[in-house]
Amino acid sequence: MSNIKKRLSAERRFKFYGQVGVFLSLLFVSLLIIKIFSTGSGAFFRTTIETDIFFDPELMNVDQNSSDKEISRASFEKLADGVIDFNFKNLSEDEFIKIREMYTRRFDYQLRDYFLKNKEVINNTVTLEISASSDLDQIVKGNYPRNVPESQRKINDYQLTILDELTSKEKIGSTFNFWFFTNGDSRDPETAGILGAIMGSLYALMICLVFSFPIGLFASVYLEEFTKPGKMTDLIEVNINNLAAVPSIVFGLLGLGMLIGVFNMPFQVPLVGGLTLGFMTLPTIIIACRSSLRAVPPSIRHGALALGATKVQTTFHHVVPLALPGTLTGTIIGMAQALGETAPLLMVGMVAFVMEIPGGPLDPATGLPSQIYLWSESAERGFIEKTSAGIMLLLLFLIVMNLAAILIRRKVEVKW
Amino acid sequence: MPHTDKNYENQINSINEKLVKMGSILEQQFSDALKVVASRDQNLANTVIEKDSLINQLNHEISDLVFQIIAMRQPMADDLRFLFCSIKIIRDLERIGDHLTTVAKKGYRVSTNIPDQLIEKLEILGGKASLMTHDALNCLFDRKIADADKIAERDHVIDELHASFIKDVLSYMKEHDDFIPDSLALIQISKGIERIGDYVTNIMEEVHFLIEGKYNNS
Amino acid sequence: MVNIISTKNVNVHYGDKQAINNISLDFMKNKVTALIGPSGCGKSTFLRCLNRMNDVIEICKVEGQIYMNDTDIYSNEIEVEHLREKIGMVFQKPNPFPKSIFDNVAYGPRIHGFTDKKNEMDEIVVTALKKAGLFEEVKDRLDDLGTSLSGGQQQRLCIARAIAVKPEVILMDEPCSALDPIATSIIEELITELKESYTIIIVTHSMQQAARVSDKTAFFHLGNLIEEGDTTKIFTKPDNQKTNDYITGRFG
Repeated sequence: MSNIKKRLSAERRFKFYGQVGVFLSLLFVSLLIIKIFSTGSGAFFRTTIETDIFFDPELMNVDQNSSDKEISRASFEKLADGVIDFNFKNLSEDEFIKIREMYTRRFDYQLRDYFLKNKEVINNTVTLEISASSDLDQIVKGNYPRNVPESQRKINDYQLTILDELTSKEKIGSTFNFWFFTNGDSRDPETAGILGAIMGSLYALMICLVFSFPIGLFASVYLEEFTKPGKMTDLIEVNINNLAAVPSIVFGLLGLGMLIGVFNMPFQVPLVGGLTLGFMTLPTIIIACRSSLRAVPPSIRHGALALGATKVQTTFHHVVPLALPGTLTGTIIGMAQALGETAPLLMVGMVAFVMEIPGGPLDPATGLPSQIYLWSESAERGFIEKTSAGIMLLLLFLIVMNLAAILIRRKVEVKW
Repeated sequence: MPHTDKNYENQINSINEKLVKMGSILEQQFSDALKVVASRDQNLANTVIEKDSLINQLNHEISDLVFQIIAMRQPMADDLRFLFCSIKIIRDLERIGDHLTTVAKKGYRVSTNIPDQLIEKLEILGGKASLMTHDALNCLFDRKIADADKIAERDHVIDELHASFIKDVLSYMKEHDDFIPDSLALIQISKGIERIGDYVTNIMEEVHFLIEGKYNNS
Repeated sequence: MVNIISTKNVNVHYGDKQAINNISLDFMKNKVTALIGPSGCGKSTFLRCLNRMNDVIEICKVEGQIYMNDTDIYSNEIEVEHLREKIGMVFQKPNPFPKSIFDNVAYGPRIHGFTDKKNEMDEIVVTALKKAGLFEEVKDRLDDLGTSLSGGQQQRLCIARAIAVKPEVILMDEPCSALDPIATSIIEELITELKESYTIIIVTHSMQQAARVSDKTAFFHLGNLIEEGDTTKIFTKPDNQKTNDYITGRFG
C-alpha cells in the first residue's frame, strides 16, 4: 500500500515520456512533409506566356498536306523566331535573344506539337500559352529575388521590364505541369519530367518481384517445411538474417561484379538493377515468408496430414495459402524498400542522364531515387522544386505500397 | 493412498467414523439387551430403547453424506463400492437396532417364573448372535474377504439355535398355558435375534462386494 | 470379437527419453476404447503411433509391432498416406481448415481421388455431415467458413472430415477438452452412434467421459500400460491398485 503512490507516479511519468516521444517524432515528420511540400508543390505548375502565333507558311518547311512524319522531323525554329518578331516588334538582336531566353528552349517543339494536332491553323493566328523558361518561372514563383544587382540575376533588367509589361497585360499565366509526369529527364528544368525514372523503377521492381518472390517463397517453404532442423539449417538461417542486414551498396557491388562483370549484362538497364534489388530483397522476403509460415498453427498441418495428405499437399493446399497474407505483406514491404534504394542502382549505372523513357527492362534507364539524387545535384534553381516533387512522388508510391500491404493483409487474412 | 483432494478424503473418512460409531453403539445395545433378558431390568431396557434414536440419526447423517458425495464427486472404483455398500449396510444396522429395541422391550416384561433353562438357551443364542455382530463389525473395518464369508456362514448356527429354542418354548407352552404371553414374548425375542443374524449376514455379503466388486454367489 | 489393431512391445523414445514402455494392447473392432492416465503418461503418444503421426516429429523413434488387420503399419510397403486414409484422427482442439464447410469435408475424398463428379462429391459430403450429426445445422450454409462454426460444431466438422475418407478406425485425442458440457455430450452421443461402423480409440482426461463412452479402457502411467479391460470393470473394481488410486482421484 505504501508504495502505491510511487508506482502510480512512475506510471504517469512513463506515459508522459511516451507522449513526448510520439509528439517529437510527429513534429519531425510533419516538418519534413511541410518542407518537402512547400518546396515541391511549385514543380507541379509551370508559368506560361500567352503568345499570339501566326503560322506563317513561309517560315515553315511543311504545309497542311504534309504527313505527320514529315511534320515531326521538320524544324520549327524559324517559326518560333518569327513568333517572337510577330509579338514583339522592332527588336534589336540583343533584345531578341533576351526575349527568346524568356521562353522555353523547347518553344519550337510546343509549336510543332500544336501544329500536328491542328493542321488547319496554317496562315492563321492563334493565341497559345507558351511555356516560359525555368528562370522566368522561378522569378514569377518568387523563388528568385528581384532586388539584387543585375549581374547576380539570371534575368536582366530588360527582361524584367518585358515581364512586368506582360504581367500588366495579364499575359503571364500558370498551368498544371503535365510535362513533369509525361517527360523524361531534361537539361531544362521546365521540361524535365519524372516518367522515365518512374518507368525505370517500375521495370526494375517488376524484375525484382519476378526474381525474388518465387525464389524467396520456395526457399522459405523448403527451409520451413521440409528441412530437418540441424546445424545446416541453423547456418543458413544465420546467414539469411545477416544478409538482410548487409548494406545495400554491397549488393550493388555484387550486381556490378557478377551480373555485369561475369555475365556481361548491359550497364544501366533495369534488368540488372532489378536483379540487384532482388538480391537485396531476397533475405527480407525469406524472413517474412518464414515467419508467416511459422505462424500457421501446426494443428492445420496435422489436420491435413491425418487425412492422408502428403507433405507437399499439406504445404501447398493449406500452409502456403494461410501464410500468403504475411508473405505478400513482407514482399510488398521488401519491394517498397527496393523502390527507395539508391546505392545498388548507383553501382549498376542506373544513375545517369536518360532523356528517353525506357520501353522495356533492357533500355537504359534511371530509377526514381537516383533521379531525385541527380536533380538534387543540378545547379539550376528549377531543379530544387523538381527534387522535392520527386521525393513527394516517391513517398506517395511508398505509402501506396504500404497501404496495399495492409489492405491485402486485411483482405486475405483468415481467422482461426 | 489418501485422496489428493483433502475435503474428499475427510468426507470419506467421516462416513467411516460414523459407521464405527454406529457399530459400537449397536454392540453396546446388544449386550445391554441381553442383560435385560437375563435381569428383567426395566431401566436398562429404556436405555436400549432410547439409544435407538441415536442409531437412526447416524443412519440419516451417513445417508446424507453419501448422497452428497455421489452428487458432487462422482466417485469411482473402491470409493464407489464403499459408498454403495455403506448405504446398504446402514440400513441393515438400523434394522438390527430396531430388533434390539424389540428384544429389550419384550425382555424386561418376561415373567421371572420362566424356567432358567429357557432363558439360558436364549442367552446362548443371544451371545452367539452378539459375537457374530461384533466380528462382523470388525470385519467391516478390516475388510478381509475370508473373514466375511466365514462370519456369514455362522448364521446357520443362529438359525438352528433359534429353531431349537422355538421347539422348547412350544413344548413348554403346551404344558403351561398360563405362560403363553411370556412364551410368545420369548419367541419374539428369539425371532428378533434370528433376524439380526440375517442382517449381519447381509452386511457380510456387502463387505464381500466391497472387497471383490461382486457378490458371493456360492 | 475381432481385433482390428494389435500392438506388441511398442517402445517410443523422444531422443533419450523413453515415452512408451513396452506396451502391448489390442483394439477390438467396432468398440470404443478409452486411453486414460495422468498427463505425460504416454497415452497421446501411443495414440499417435497408431496412424504414424509421430513420423512428423523428428526425434521420435517407434519400436515394436503395430498391426492393423494383420498388416504391419510400420513396414516399408505401407504408404503412410494410405494408412491415414484407413485410420482417421480428430484432435484436441477443433482444427477445421479455414475453408468452406463443404471443402473441409470434401478435402480428404478429393486428395484421395474418390470421385471427379460434382454430384457424387455432394453425396459424400452430405453423408459424412449426416453421420457426424452436423448436416441439419449447416445444410443451408455449406459455403460458410468452417471456422465460423461454434466449437462443438467445429469438432463435429472435424469428425465429418475424418469420416468422409471412409476410415475403419477413428483416433480421437481428447476431442472434448475444448468444449462446453452440452457440446461434449453431443460428441459423446455421436461417438456411441459411430461405433456401429467404426472402431474408435479415444484419449481422454475426463474419467467420467471414458466411463460414459467407452467399452474398453486402458490405463497408462509413466509410459506403462498399467491395466486394461472392460470399462465397467475398470471403473468399479480395477485389479490394479494404481488404477484404483488414479480413477478415485488419489494421484494424477
